[in-house]
Amino acid sequence: MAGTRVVAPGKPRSWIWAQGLACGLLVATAAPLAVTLAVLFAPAAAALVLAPVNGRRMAGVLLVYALAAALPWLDTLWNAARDWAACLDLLGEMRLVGICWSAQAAGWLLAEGIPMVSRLVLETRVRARIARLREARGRLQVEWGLAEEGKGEA
Amino acid sequence: MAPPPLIAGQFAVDLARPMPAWGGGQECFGATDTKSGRADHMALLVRRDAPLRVQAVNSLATMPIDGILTPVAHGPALGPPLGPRGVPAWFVVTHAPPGPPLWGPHAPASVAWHEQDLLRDVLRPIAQALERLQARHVTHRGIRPANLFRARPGDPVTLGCAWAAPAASLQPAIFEPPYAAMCLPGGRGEGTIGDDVYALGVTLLVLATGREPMAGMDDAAIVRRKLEVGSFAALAGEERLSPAIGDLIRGMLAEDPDHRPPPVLLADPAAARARRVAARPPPRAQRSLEVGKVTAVNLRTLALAIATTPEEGVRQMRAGAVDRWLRRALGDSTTAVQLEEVVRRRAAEQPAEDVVADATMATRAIALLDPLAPVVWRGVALFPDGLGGALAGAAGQEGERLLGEMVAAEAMGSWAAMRPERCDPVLLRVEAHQNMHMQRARGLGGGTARLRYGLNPLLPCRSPLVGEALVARLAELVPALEAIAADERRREGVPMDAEIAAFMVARSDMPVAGELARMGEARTPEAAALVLLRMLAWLQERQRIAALPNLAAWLGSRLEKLLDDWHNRPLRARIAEALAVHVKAGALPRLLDLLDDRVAKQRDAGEATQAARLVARIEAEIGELQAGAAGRAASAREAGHEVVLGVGMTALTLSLIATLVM
Repeated sequence: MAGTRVVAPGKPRSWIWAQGLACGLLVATAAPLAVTLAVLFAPAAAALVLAPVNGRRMAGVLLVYALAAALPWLDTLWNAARDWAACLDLLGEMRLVGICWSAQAAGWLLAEGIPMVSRLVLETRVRARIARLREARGRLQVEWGLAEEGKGEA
Repeated sequence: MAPPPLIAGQFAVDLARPMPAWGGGQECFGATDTKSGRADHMALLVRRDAPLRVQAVNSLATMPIDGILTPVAHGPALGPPLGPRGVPAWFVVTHAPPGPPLWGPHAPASVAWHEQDLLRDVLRPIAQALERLQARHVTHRGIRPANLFRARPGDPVTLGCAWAAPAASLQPAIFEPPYAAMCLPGGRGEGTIGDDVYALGVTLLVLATGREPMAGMDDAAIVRRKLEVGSFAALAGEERLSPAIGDLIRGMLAEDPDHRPPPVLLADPAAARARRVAARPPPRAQRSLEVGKVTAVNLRTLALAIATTPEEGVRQMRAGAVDRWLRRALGDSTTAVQLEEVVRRRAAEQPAEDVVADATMATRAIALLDPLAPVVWRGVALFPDGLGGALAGAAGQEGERLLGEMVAAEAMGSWAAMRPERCDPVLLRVEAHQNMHMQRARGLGGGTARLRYGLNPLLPCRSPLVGEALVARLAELVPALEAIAADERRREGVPMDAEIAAFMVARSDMPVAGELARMGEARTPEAAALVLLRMLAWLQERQRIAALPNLAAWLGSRLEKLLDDWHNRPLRARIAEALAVHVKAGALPRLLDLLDDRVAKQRDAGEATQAARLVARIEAEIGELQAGAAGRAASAREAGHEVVLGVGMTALTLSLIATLVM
């Protein structure tokens, strides 16, 4: 039947159209606020677009950090006139933008660094275990004359 | 100078004092009784292929008989010098003869004896001696002028030795009944006292005439002549003898031993002369029968012809020529019918080309035609009790194969069944069956060698391994092997061969045969050596031999590979160290305990299996860990993101709270 969309089983439904609609509504109804958010959350948006893997996940992390940093100013802006003048005043305050972008930078650093450290710890423990196992195997091979069989093993 | 060798710890053999012609045909030396200091003994050397008569020696050594040189001791010469040719030897010690022999190059004179002298000095004393021998169930089988001794004329003669070789094996053919003379020298058997009476008869004839009859004839011709015309006619046919001596000798030379006067009667020559047994000479055929190169003229010569030319005899029997001759030329239809039955039985039982069946038929036919004849198998003749001596003499020769074939076919049982009135057929059949079983075992410890040692209790082991060492009893085997093992160049293979195996089976009272069978079935030389170690260790313990370092080194070198059976390397090293210690100490039982500890081996194998499984598990785990790097990276990334997100959410919450509060 023409016009019927068939979604493959197990494949998540795409909500891009809903996101686009929300963004369109925000720009249409509160353009100054949309511009302010765009400036403050620019690193998160960049991560969403530019990150080679897990861009959305990284963008989510950065968004959380950006929100945590910018929430007091956004509250002020929400309670103010929310017009272009208020938005520009807010954006003109470089301290706010710096804190927000720094928070996102810290989030990015943490998101990249902590897995690396975690992996390092895991690999170190595994290497130690392998070394102990090899030592035990070598001892057994020497004691029971199994060295010939284990020769191919590194 | 080394002390002379001692026999039975008492008699010193003086090898520098040979006594030729005094030993009844055997090598003989002077001997001294070291206890009494008397030098009036002699020692007869026992040849290795002609064992002494153990039963006769043991019977006579305990109680000597007057008028005979009875044995006083026997045994190996211990201590150097070992023997006349520098090799160990077994000796039989007797008193020395009182004087020179009556006949031969060492005799004072070979002249005809007067009748009275013969009766007084020869017949009576020998008859009395034979009577005593008969009471002990012993025969002499060595009576002849060259084996009779006396110090001076007028003395009664003394019978010489006949104990250090198989019975009658040294007797010339003329002094033996034709049936004994046709046998292998070692296979004449103990015989009966009647055979001694026959030999005494020939001896009287020789002394009475002053010359040996049938001189220049070979043994086969002597036997044939005796069977053709009878022994008396063959030996004394043309001699002029006094009527008394002639009558005596005629009776003594009867072909049938039952017709000869017994010794007790001979002690009274007048009574012996009066005893006439009506023994008709065998009927002679109207025309002769040629069987091969032998001409048969009566039943006895027909049996002899089949015995000496068995293939031709069998051919003529199967063709019916023999029974036709029996009927038409000899007029003996009874024997012809019986012979036909023998031939028919052979044809019914076995295929035509079966040579063993042919030989059995010939054996039966000979026993039927002449019940006095010995067992004859494809030209080899012997009496059943001479089988041991025959095997000893034929060892390593073609005759051994024929004797083995005869035993396998139980020919003695067939022979006995054809002449039940002359022997105990049941007993002989059982003996033949036992011999067959003894020989039947193949491989190590079986065959004719097993039978040879079984029937000759003091026959030395003729293994090339023991070489010239005298190993007649089991106790002498291990020391001999130890001495050989001292020379490292002789340590080839293992210290065991078929001869030693057969010797051990015959002499040992432990179940050696089973061990030898296991040795023969062993898959590897090391496994075979381990079985041998078990037997030798048992002997070392049993004989309480303190140390066998050379033998231990020999076996140890063959058993080193068995260490590879142990999986645990430290344990293997410890066992190798212990092995070296026990080899040095020469302790075979300890070696056996070490190498044949089955419980420890099973434990070791079980632990080795567990170790191999553990290694496999470890390798699997290492593989899993090495293959899990990507998974671990993903996990680390996941966990890191969760942590970072958690921190961010916490900060957001705090920021929200702070915003709401302000």
